[in-house]
Amino acid sequence: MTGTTLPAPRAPFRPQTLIPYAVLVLATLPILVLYVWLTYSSFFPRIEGFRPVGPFTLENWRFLWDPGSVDQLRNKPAIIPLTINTFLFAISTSVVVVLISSMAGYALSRLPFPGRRMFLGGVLLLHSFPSVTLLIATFIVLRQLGLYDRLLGVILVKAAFELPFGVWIMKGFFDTVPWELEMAALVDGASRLRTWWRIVMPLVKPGLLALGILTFVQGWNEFILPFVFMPSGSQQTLSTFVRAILGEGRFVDYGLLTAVGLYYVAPVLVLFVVAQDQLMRVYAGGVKG
Amino acid sequence: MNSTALLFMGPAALLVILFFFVPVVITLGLSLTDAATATGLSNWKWIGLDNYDQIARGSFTMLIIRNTIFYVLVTLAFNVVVGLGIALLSTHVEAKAGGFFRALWLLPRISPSAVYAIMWVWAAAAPPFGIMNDVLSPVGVAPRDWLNTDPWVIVILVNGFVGASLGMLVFTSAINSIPEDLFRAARVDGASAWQIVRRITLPLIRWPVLFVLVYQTMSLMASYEYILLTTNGGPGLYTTEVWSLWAFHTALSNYYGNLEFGLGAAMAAGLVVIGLVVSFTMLRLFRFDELVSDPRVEIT
Amino acid sequence: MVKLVAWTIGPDAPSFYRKDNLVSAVATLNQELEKENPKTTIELDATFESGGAWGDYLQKFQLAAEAKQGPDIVLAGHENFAPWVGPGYVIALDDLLKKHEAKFKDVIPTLWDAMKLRGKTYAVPQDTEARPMYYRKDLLAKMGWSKDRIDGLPEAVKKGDFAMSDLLATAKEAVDKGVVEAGKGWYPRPTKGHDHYMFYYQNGGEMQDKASGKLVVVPAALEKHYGVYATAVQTKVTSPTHIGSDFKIWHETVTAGKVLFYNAGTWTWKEWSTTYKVPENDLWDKVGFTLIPAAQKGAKPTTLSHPLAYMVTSNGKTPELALRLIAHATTPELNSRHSVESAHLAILKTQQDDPTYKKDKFLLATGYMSDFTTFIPNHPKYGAYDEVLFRFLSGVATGQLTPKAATDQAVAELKNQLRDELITK
Repeated sequence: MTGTTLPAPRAPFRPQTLIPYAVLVLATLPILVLYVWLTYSSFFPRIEGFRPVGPFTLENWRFLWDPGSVDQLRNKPAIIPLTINTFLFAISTSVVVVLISSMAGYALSRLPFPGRRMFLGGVLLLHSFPSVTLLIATFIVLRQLGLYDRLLGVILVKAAFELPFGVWIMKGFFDTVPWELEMAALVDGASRLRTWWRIVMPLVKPGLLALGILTFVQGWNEFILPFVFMPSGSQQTLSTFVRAILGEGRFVDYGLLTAVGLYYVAPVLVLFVVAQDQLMRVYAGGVKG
Repeated sequence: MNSTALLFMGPAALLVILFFFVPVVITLGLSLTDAATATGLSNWKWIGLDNYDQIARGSFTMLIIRNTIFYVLVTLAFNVVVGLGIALLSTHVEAKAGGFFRALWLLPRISPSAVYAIMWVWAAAAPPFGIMNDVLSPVGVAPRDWLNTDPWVIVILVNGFVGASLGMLVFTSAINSIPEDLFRAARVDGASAWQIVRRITLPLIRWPVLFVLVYQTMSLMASYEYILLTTNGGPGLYTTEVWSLWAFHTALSNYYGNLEFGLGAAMAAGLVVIGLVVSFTMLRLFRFDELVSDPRVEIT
Repeated sequence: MVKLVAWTIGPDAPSFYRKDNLVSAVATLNQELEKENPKTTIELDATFESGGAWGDYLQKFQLAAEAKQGPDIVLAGHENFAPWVGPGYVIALDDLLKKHEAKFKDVIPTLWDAMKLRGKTYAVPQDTEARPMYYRKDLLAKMGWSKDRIDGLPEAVKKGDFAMSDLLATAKEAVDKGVVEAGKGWYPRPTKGHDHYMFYYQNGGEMQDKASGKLVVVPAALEKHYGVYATAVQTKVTSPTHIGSDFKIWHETVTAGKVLFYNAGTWTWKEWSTTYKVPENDLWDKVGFTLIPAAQKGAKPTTLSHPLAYMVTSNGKTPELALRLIAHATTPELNSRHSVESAHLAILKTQQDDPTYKKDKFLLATGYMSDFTTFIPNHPKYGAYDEVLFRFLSGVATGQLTPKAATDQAVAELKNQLRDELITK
């Protein structure tokens, strides 16, 4: 499996048949319908099945320009700063994960050292642990380190949860990079660190990008860690805001819910449209065919 | 050499040890205590295997085990069959179109779970609100409140549409790495599309299929979030409660705020034991040695 | 200068005065403090969470308290302090309350019962409510009830003339006559919550032993409680898919006038007019409210309240200032504006005379319910207790179990989980 290109498309066995398309469309329709429906519902006051009740309106989106007029949003922080905070959290997590995973991935791909197998096997096992059951124990560790209620602590925990995946992915990408280039550099006397950074890293750019996007999305979607581990700022992320609105069964205004939900999912959708090739590669990259 | 390895591995090892390994050990330790909100993290006592004993005697335990097995098997079947189907079909059609369909299948996986789950909850709502009834009643399915009448259908669809994409991507990359010559030769011999799939594709991708089977079994056992956000284990008497959701309910979510860490940890530990067995099987099956084989050349 | 931190939560958005009343109290407390010592002033950093889940809020507080980085004042349900007493997250207030007795003597006495654990007081009531049985006047009229009879229903219930069995029979009649659709004769709460226990209390149920503080289960009462739901489902008054159905659709159906009897809170009245856009006049015309009818004729009707309360944590260095701040937030004027804004009932005796409170016809009309009210217990293991009882209730309400079988299994499971913390009566 190469990290950069997929093999050329294969000619269809029977070009005349449309059956495979029909099956694909049918199978994929539920997903498409859900997202289209979400979008469309956000522009009507109420919706019953596919039928909008009432005229087209931007009313549901008024939380963006006039949050004061929405009951549910009184006493909530403004949405734009929340969006920026969430963005910063997601970006920081992403940078930490990409950097640390690519260092470890490189070492695991290139250097024999004691404990290497154990590490690779160990992180794979950890994946099967329902991470949320570790919250209390993680809290004990954070408190011991003095990182409770600090953004750095939350970023590190989130990064640690994403690391097993990142390390395996990056190892996969480094495995596909030929050795000759870096060997030349090493023979010329360059340090390992320099060789890695200057010569090898540029060659796995697609992998870095893919992992970066994916961890960004995970950070963007993360709810429980910032909420629980950073009480003083826990009102400050978009995920808390959205959960607060979505999760409340009693004060429901579905139009508003759909608009807020769509607002939250929008950056993910944009990233998805822009970078779907990279995203698909990351899932395929970690596993050998 | 070891200092170089240490330099590169240090940060990752540190994070994994601090925030994964140590918490796992602490959690296993907690499972032998009566720690809960009411004891705080300083007044708890060691109680040996009491928590495990309580789980074993619990009147819901068997029901929840049965639910978990059912949920894992059916969702797994959905994930693998659908994932394989989409992979086969999308590599069979025009490359661009195939890529488009695969991309759509990724959407649920990368959407925030709260938003994705709530879309399903709304879609499944009782008439006249949900669209599932609008779509299905013309084909003769009586309109209903799906989450209440057929909770498992929704639980499996919600998880299935997320989970199928993993298999799809792994299988796609495996299919694409099969040498084109094999297919060409088969076509020259006059094999039908189905014969090619059965005789060539499937045998050649059996390892990825096995990998996905085992990997997803583990993920599914540990997963609870989408059930939490849709049926929350109901309706009725633990109808869709699975083991990890039970652990979550016990250890981390309680309407009245008395979280039973000790008991919840014991439940999580049970899951880990099964996870270990499954993982070891996986590592055996997957020629783990090959995956982690030592680097071939090294300059010191 | 002393800085105090307070955390509050709705989760209903209109309850923002839980925070704002504390904020208003800062000024009056500072005036008072100035006379004692010009150097002491307080400053408040308060948050209010609207929306979101209780469980998350409680967990956040617990970890913060554990790390000694929590607030000085925390607002929560009265039962929430029970698990917090053991690890010492919140402090007993009896001495301080005694010292500032004058400031709290206006609080309705029965509310203090809900603030106690094993004889000590850990919280100050912030608000309360009641959970009436609502009914559609227009539907009863359609069934041939006279106007007098309809308007007299609350009184009949109060006197014990109209019992729960009468209610179920009326609902069945409505279904049989086609006045309402099957399953829409009686809508209990569709999700987990305190409301269900009104039917346990109604049948002689007890939840806590006063002397020992242990949890109590009365199997006979539990079986009758489950029996109420079972009967409703068997007679098609309530649908077997009702428990677990969507709360929003619940409200849509109820406000559309399709359901004869339904349980909700006093605060829900407000929601129906604001969120569900039913003009308040319409509500007055078509919707009535009574206590929960007694189990048998002649017995006592009931309801249930769940007061929220301010607690003082062990985190702060100045618990007395924290309590004094709460005292200044506990005035008829401040509490009345909260009551009116969020449709909660008064916690102070003099609120009845407060001009703001008096203007609210609904609060005045439901005020008497406080005299018939019950509370859930304050016990650290109440969460586990509630989980078992509710899960088996939903087993009965879906027709999976008979009341007898559910009761036997629930009691066995309670014994398994609570051991010597449970008394079976």
